Amino acid sequence: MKRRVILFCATLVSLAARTAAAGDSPDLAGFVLGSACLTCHAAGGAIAPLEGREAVGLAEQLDGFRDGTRAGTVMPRLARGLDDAQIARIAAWLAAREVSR
Amino acid sequence: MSALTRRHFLARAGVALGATALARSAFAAPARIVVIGAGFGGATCARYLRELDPTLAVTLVERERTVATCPFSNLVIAGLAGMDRIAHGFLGLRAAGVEVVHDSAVAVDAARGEVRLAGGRRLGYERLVVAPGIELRLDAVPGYDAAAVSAMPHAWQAGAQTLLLRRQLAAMPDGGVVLIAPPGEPFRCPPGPYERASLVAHYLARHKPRAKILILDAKDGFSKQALFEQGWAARYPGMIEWVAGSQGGLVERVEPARGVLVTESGFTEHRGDVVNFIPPQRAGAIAQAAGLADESGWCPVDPRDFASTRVPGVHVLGDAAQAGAMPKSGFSANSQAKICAAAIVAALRGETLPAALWTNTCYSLVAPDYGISVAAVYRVDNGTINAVPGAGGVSPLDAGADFRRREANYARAWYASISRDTWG
Repeated sequence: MKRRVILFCATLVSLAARTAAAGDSPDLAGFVLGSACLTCHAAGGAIAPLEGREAVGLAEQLDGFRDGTRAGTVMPRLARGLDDAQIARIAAWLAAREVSR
Repeated sequence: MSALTRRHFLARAGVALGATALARSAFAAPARIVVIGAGFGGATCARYLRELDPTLAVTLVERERTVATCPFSNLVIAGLAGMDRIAHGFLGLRAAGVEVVHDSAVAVDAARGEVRLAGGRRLGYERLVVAPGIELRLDAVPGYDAAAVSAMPHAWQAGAQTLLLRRQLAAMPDGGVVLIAPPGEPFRCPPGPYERASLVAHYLARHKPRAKILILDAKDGFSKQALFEQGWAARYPGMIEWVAGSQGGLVERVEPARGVLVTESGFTEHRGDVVNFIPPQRAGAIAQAAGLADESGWCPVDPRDFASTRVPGVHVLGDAAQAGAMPKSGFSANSQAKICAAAIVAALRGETLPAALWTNTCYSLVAPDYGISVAAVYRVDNGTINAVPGAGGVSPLDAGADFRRREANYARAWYASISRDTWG
């Protein structure tokens, strides 16, 4: 399962990079899954900011929260609501964002 | 085709036509989006509309120069924070290119695509987002009318009411009784009344240790109940008593002049030195005036994009909307607002909105160093918003002091972060 998430992620990161380079159209598919993260993880906040972080690392952490190998408070409860493709998309979307807003 | 379905179909057809017209005229004037209400729903939507499409002309209509949030207002009531902690201005939204208009929306002309403001101005729109929060029903419980509000503050809309309840608690004698009367579902912030009882107890335990809190509830159970009751037993033993609706908790009448709540068909009168009566609610006034609410008082929406099923070209967000399994919370409104912004941008481009997830996380403080939470992930299935099975839930009952302390710290960090995400 872990390998599948990472593989997915790598594909999406290159996709996201190409979209960003193209300039105009925002990644709405990533936005409607990943923008929820920013509610708690806003830039400059006390809860780890996530924008611009490396996608594979983000996906691994979400995967760890989901399968219980990584401890947390609300994150294990939230990550259990995500499937592999959603985790990969969220990680890629966060990674592709500019750090300062 | 039922009347509702037909109306809904026509509404969506209208939207599709609008989108096509816009897509064709790429060099025409920018699409105009008007957002009514600058709480967690409206402000978030305005901000992310501009982020997703900087060509949009986004106008945000808000009566107040600063908005005060219900989240964390219980800290103000308990003397643990000042109003400045929960007040938010509009510099961040203006910097994001949102035009902020301080006025009240009084009418919507959906056929013309126009909002009328109390000051007389008319704002044309291609899409309207209505996020007015709640209106308190001052016709629901006999005795609790507009005049009663100043004797028995609800403090369920933050601002002057928050400070009034704070002053009443400060003036109350030691050995006095605080009555808190929460309404039945649905209402804004389901765990809010119980966090309020907790933090008021925190204040009383330090300043008026012989005082008592009696919660007279319209319901037979409440959000995070086992966690709250565990926390009350640990931190405020003997101070808080909760009475279920079917066990005599349901308030049938109030007498503001005497500080009395009447229950059990008039057989029991409860007198409080401070009475926090939280009445039943409905969608904010403009939602009623615009015909967005149904007979329940709340606004039915298409769960995918929060488009009104009653008025074409209008979306309803936050507490005012009927959002399936999502609670009426600031986080829910913030989450709905982002998906709605994406849906509007997609529709204006003639694209289909990709499958979305909604999220809610609500922290409550039992004490400043004792936090508890509920979290869930939501998706659309069978035409409504349901929690994703296997995910979500509340803090563990068997967690230790360290877990509670961490969640209290997360609660404060959450408030700072969602405020920044919402108002910039």
